[in-house]
Amino acid sequence: MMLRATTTYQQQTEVTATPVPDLLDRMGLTADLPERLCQDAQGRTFEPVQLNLGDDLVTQVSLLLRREPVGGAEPQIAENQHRLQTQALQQAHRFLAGGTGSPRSVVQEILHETRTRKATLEAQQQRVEQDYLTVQERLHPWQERMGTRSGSLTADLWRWLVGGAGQLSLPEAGTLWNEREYLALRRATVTAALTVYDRVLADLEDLAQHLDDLLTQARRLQHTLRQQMADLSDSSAVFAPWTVRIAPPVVSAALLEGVDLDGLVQDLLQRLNTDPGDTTLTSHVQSLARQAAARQMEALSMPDMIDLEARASGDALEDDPVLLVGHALLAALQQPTWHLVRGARPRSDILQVTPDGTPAYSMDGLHSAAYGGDLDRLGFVQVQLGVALDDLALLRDTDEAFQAALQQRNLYVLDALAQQAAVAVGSARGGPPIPAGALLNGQVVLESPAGGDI
Amino acid sequence: MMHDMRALQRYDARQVARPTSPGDEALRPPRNQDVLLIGAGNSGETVTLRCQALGYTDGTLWSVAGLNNDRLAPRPVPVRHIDGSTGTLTLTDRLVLDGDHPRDQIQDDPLLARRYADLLRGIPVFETYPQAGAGGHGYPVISALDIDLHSQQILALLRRMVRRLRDVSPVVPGQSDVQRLLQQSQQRQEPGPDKTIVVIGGVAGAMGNAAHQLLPGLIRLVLAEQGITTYHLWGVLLGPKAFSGLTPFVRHNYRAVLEALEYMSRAGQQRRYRDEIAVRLQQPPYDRVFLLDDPTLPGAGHRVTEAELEGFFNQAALSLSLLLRGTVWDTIASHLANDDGVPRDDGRLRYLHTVRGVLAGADRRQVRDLLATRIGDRLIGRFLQQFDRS
Repeated sequence: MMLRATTTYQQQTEVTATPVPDLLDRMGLTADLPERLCQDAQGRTFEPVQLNLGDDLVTQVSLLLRREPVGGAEPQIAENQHRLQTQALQQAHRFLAGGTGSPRSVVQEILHETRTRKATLEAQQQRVEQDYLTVQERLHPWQERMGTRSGSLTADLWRWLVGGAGQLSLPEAGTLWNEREYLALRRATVTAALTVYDRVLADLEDLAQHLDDLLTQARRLQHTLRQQMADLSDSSAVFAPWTVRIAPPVVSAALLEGVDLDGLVQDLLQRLNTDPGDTTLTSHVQSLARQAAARQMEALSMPDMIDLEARASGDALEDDPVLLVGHALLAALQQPTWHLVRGARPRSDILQVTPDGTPAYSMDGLHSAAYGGDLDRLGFVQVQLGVALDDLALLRDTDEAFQAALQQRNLYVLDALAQQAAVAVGSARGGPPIPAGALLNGQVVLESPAGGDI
Repeated sequence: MMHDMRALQRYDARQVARPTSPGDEALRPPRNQDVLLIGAGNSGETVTLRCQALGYTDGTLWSVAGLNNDRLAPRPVPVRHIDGSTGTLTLTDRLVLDGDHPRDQIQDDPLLARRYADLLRGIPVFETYPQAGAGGHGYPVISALDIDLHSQQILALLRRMVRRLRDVSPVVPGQSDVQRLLQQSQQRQEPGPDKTIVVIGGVAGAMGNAAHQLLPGLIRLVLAEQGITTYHLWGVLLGPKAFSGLTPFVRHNYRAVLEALEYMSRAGQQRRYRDEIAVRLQQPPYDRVFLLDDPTLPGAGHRVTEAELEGFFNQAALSLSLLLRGTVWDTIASHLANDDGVPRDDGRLRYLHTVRGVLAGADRRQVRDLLATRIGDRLIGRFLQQFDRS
């Protein structure tokens, strides 16, 4: 049996400052518990069967000869025991859930007080047991002798009515019998009351033990979760050289504000109540947290995440954050990837790239393409096409140095270019003339050397 | 320190690293059979792996391979698996061209002896002395030599990677040759989107530079072998300003490779390799050539910093991956009109392009996980506040 969740978790009841004895009184663990156990719904106490020897003697004598009590209160006692036991535990749980003191020390106080009261009741039980035994020890021999005959009816009748020589008379036996019925009732109610005490003690002792286990689990889990938070906040965990990266710590912190923590605590306590043994605190907490996170992110789009991150700064937003991201991306897109000579006119094409190709931005000349997959990506691609070799500025800048280096060594991998360079170097040094169509001063020719590799 | 000499074996450069264990397959997104990225050289492999990582986290697994004469692999990249967990991506399909000293092997082959008599003109043996597997040291010719010496291994790599584009079923034990041919023919006839093969490499160094000149011919050879006729072969040339100061030959190498591409765009390519392999192309090496550079680099001084280089690689990967995503290129292609490099009246071929992509992104899973953790922390805090008072 675990702690019960109150309807409002943080609500404090009027009993928080009540001493433990008062609590036990409200739990019903009072001195009159045995009496209440034999009362009906209207508060009427069960009355055991009593003999009246002045009435129908024959019927009375047959009852008088019963070795065991008639009783009859047992069903009522059992029903009351179950009800009072349940009420006692509910009171205890409600008190612990709403209290402000240390639950552990309060549970120990309750246990102590309960054990003290139980000891008093146990002493009563001993006395009742002794009294009952005494009555039985006197009544049983009389009942056995009542069954024997001396052969003289007159003598037998005189012995029954008057007694004598240490033997009970009929009226005395009747009185004992009636007393035995009350003692039997008392015996049953005290036993039932002790059962209630035992049940309460077992529940509270289990709670104390389980509470310690739970708290140990909780502290361990808190340490683990904080380590996980640090690890998950590390943006380098996955290679993602995006131009603009949505910050998971900022977005998750913003989403956290919308989570109903009070409700989650209620759910946690409810789960612990109904499933105390088989599933650990850790798995309950993780399950609840995952479900809550999934709910928060269910309809969250990438523009929503951008917006959340922007608003997390606390500053008033004057511009659309998604538009600002677009501006930043376009600015990054303008960084050159090659250096062309003045006058070069490449063809340029620019696309916005969204998960399914649906445009996020509009701009003249801006086309859309799909990134593919259900992914949170938003970008631009620019291609510049159709540039010729001599449009590259670096080639124009390095011509002279390149030719000088070729004089010293071969710089080509292709056979034809290497041969032509060698021939050119040979010609420059006064060697044989350069064949028509050969490579000269870095200018490529159209003809390939006949029969040779290129 | 003693070693057991009996355990020493010859290193086999033909062995290409295989993908990770089958147990990792369950964490990977579906393989995309329409795109193949080949990174050549250190810069090319780095950008290639980062492109793959971007696609991976976004739920697409592009096929990638690396070709290098430097054993040093690109740094693993952190990614998110399809189950939300994080891990790292490494370039596992790599062919590293190393072995015995390359320059020693030239005289063993008359073809190479003739070729490299011209190609190695003026390059002292001292400059090329370092053993294979440590890069080309800024000399594309050295990397070309590595390519020549390992042409069979390179073709094997290309064939294996191109097969992934077609998802050719492996040979079934007991399947006859005729049955296999029928199966392959049926697969070829199945319609599908055009394949895109992209060779990514730097122009300032050695391996990327040489690869851009020699790989296209070999790739087209393999594509023709495997019956793939509808494809786009792109070259992505990185640099040169982004590599300023890294070697003395940055600008020379840049110029040389562009002149070579121009030459082949006009004359095609005829080249023989060892073992009777020959490339005979009457088409440009690449269908499209993208130049990606950062003209603002270096920010200060004459040499780029490590941070500037990392930033350039990241931007290049982002731009290229955007171009390959979704309907981006299809949309651009639909806008193109006559920009196909056909000579105009002035005779100038206009086939050079560039691309830049920018992106705003959110890691929704990270947001959700962080939010759930924060909610849990608040919840447990309330619980402790109520029940842990003492």
